[in-house]
Amino acid sequence: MYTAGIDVGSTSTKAVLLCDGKLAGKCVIPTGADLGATASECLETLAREAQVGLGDLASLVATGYGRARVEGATKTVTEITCHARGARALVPSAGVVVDVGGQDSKVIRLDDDGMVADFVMNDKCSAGTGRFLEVMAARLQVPLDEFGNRWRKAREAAKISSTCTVFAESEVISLLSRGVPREPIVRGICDAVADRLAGMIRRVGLATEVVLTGGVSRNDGVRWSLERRLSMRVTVPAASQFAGAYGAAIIGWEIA
Amino acid sequence: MVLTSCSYIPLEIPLALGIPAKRAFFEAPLASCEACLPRDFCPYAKAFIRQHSPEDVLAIAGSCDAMRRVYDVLRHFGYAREVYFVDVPRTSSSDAVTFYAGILREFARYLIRVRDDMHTCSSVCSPGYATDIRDPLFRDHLLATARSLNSLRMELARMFKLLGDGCVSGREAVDVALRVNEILAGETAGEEHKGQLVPGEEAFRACQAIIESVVFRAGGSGRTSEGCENGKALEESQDECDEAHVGDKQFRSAGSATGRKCPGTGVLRRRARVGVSATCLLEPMLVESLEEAGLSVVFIDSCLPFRMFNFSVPGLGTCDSSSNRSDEDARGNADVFSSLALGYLRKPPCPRVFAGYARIEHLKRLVASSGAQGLVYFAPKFCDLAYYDFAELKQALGETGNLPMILIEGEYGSGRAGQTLTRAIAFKEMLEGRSSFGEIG
Amino acid sequence: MLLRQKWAYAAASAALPFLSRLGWKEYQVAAVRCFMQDFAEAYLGRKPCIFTSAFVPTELVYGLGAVPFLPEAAGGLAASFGLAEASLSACESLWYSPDLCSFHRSGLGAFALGLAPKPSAVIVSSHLCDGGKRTLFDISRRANCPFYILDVPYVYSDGAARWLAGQIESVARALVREVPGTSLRNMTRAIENSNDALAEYQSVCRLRRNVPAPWRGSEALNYVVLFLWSWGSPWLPAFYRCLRNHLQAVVGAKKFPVPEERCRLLWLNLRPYYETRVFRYLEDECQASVAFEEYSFPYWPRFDAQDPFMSLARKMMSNFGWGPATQRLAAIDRMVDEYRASGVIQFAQRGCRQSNGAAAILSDVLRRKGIPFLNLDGDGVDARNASEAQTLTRLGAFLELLERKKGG
Repeated sequence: MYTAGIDVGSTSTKAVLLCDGKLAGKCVIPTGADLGATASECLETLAREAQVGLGDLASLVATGYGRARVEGATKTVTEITCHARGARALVPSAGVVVDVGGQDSKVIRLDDDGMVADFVMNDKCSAGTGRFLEVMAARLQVPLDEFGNRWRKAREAAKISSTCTVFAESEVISLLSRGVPREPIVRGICDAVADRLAGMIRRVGLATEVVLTGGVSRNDGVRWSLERRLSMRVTVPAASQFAGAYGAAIIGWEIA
Repeated sequence: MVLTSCSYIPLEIPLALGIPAKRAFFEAPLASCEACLPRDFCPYAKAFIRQHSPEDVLAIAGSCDAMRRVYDVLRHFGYAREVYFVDVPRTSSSDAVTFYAGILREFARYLIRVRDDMHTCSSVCSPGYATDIRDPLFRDHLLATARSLNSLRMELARMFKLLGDGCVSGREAVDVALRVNEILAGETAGEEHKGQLVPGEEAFRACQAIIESVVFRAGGSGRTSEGCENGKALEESQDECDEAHVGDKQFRSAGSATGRKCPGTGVLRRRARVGVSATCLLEPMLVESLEEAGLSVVFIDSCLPFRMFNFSVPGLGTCDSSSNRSDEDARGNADVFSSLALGYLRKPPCPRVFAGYARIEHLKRLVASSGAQGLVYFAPKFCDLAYYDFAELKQALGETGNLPMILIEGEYGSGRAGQTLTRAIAFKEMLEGRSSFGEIG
Repeated sequence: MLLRQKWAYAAASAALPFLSRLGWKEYQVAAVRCFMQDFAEAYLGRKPCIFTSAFVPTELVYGLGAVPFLPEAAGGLAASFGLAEASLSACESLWYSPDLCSFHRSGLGAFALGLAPKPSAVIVSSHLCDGGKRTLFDISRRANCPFYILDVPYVYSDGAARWLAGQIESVARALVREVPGTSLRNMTRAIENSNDALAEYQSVCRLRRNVPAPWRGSEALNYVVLFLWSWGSPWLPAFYRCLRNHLQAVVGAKKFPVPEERCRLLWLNLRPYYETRVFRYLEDECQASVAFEEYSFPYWPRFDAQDPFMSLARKMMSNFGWGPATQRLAAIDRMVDEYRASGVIQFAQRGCRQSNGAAAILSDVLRRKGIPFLNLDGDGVDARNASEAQTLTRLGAFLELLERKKGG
């Protein structure tokens, strides 16, 4: 029995296919202006690659901010629940899930059964989100996927005090104009995001295993900064970007 | 008309003087208000700028830092012809009550002066009303008004008790309270009541009729939730399949959110019961969104509507159920201003007062008596008192009492926002997962 | 923690004389000595420590034989010692919004981190702002200690003052009953100490009217902590005497910190207490002098030692920050004239609604008076909420405006 989950995020749309509850395929494409069309395209690609007809799906669960635009969805579930379920499936000992997406970030504490015990969201401003990193990366002219390398090369972090994107950008400009190399600035930016996330994590309560998911989880710099802030290891599962879609697919499999 | 900024200002006083009065609930603030108030200011406070009629009297309480500055701005820039500061105490000791009774007397004297200055407006100054607060006629009017409002409040309290039983939706309760508020202001009492003295018996009857219609529709006498048979059927209803798209479809009309029986599976599921607390709900939309998200709202601890009406002024000589009134009070001989001061200062505490533990205990009682499984806290953006209140309640009820809580910050219109709905649905999903919700159905 | 170690105070006392050799002024050493004495009493538990919100008259606390602790002011101190990040983070984990005033958040966070002494009781007043009383309520809950409220009427009347005086007396008597080690025996002494200090302080204020200013505003703004914290203490008169002597010497020797004053400023609200370039830029690079600060203004009349509670009530009610804005405007108008300010800067502390809410009125009133006004967005404790580059740009533009105005 095939079931699928799709996570229509602000930056990218992810889909996961399960066959009898086991991973059978996954797909990610950038989210376009037409959310419905993006979702359809993502699902079609997924089905094509897995050689499955979309009509064969026993269930399709949609999540993410564009979940309502997914045609043919059996059910919609919020990304909070989906990330919790997906992360717990990917990392069975996960106690806190930190999902950093393009336009918001969420910290979810799980109970012993893997259910959401508490959560906190930041969507008031772009601080602590992928958008913040994108703006800074553009200003520094350092691609986001190079942040990890640059972070590692930095001996120390430049102090970026502000978490407001506009203020932080002006700080970055000021640092560049003073001739500060880009490596410590990259590290300072990662620290600023990590500070924000650490504050949210402390609100819901720290757990023995913290799992980082969402698009920003692929940014090693943010992970390392967060590990230093929390004085503990932060787990990034292999398919961290797909945690929401995976969780949706699992829920779909349960209800199918 | 007198527009008040706070549920601690008794509407009885202007009403007894023949001046229409209501608690002010404006539309979203005008963009131009940022010329006189900071951007990071409470939206309810900002909405007081330039949204009233020139002849209105604004009665502003020093509820919070923001409202105190609103008073200053209104006066300084001449945005209102009449602005009066009501110094509502932040405590409720017997000395505070005495002090407040004095403040209320001054308020009455001020209103008489204003009313007489505006005597050309016949709808405001009606013959037959007292011109001095020492006039026995005024005392009679004040007493009668306070008794009438007590009756109205009791009726509303009956309706509030039906919340969560599927009989009355939270949105309906808010709407009825708002309508009562409007009728007191003589605005929407209907054509047949025009020209009536405010508060005339007719206006009060109109209010009562609205409340009774809702209570009656909800299932008979509505005195307690036991009489609510309709509701019992309705409460056990949530279509699991339909639930899939809750919140993502068009909003349904008020009152429709009480649920439906699932035709496909026959599985009956109860909705998660949540209380709503806020310094001030800016508009009913948030409550509607929660219900649309699949939550059952069982109480609304906010100025709008609970704290505005969910209490009774003691010592008016009526057959109210207040058990601690003295014999003298029971005969109605006590000073009415003192009774009003007492009744209002000791009503369910709002986050602005120095209630300390009393506020936490109040919420604990509300949660226990309503069977709420979670608490949704609404904070108007930049409302400091809401931020503090939430943190205190989160620690007292959330962390030590294990009650799930969620903070939703918002402005006017954000009740409809996708972010609000996502939070509400996620909270519902959390409650369902957390309490093994399936077992109930 | 160091503050709880007896030996630390002994070591610090021994080191005090060396501060003079390092260039410290006598009044600066005196301030450290005084604070150290109080901190020793509080942290080592030698005297009951009563936490208060910022505008509760500390004469009440000293009068009870206790020492005060002001978490809001301590929040500023935490920033100046580089502890703000930790204290703000601790506060955030308690579910307090980052949109709240950082002085309160930092004070609460510092308490949660165990950086504050143990309170024997907490007293709050309703003036001037909402944040203080709620912060202190949380602290009292955590410390499980008695919590007292002074409900300050908004508008002065004799009846209102009597009600407040009654509240103060009730709180004092309740404290004597509830908190071991307190008594009313010291009340008259504390009132007299306060009067003596006020007399000295008024001399300090008169000296500060000198052109050029004899004291750096940036430093004076640091002493606002002491101004809030120490009335009624036995050491405050001596401290202000010391400061008065220093300022007299500066005026006499004409050794002014900003010798060529390009402009004189009145500073409203507080300042950033973390390391910042703002005042170096203002005072040294631009030769702009902060002549006086709103929070240093002695607004209350002398006390009647025979009627201490009514005296304290009058002090609280005469605070110009409480009551209609017209009172604050009148006080600012007076300060502008007395200190010959050519411009007014309000440090718009993020989250300080009570102060920032009046910015438009201030601007309007001062414009009519012909005094330029700058509402300078910033944050006194949480550096994350401020941009130094933007702050300096705004200050620079404002100073240019003042220059142009002076040039006609």
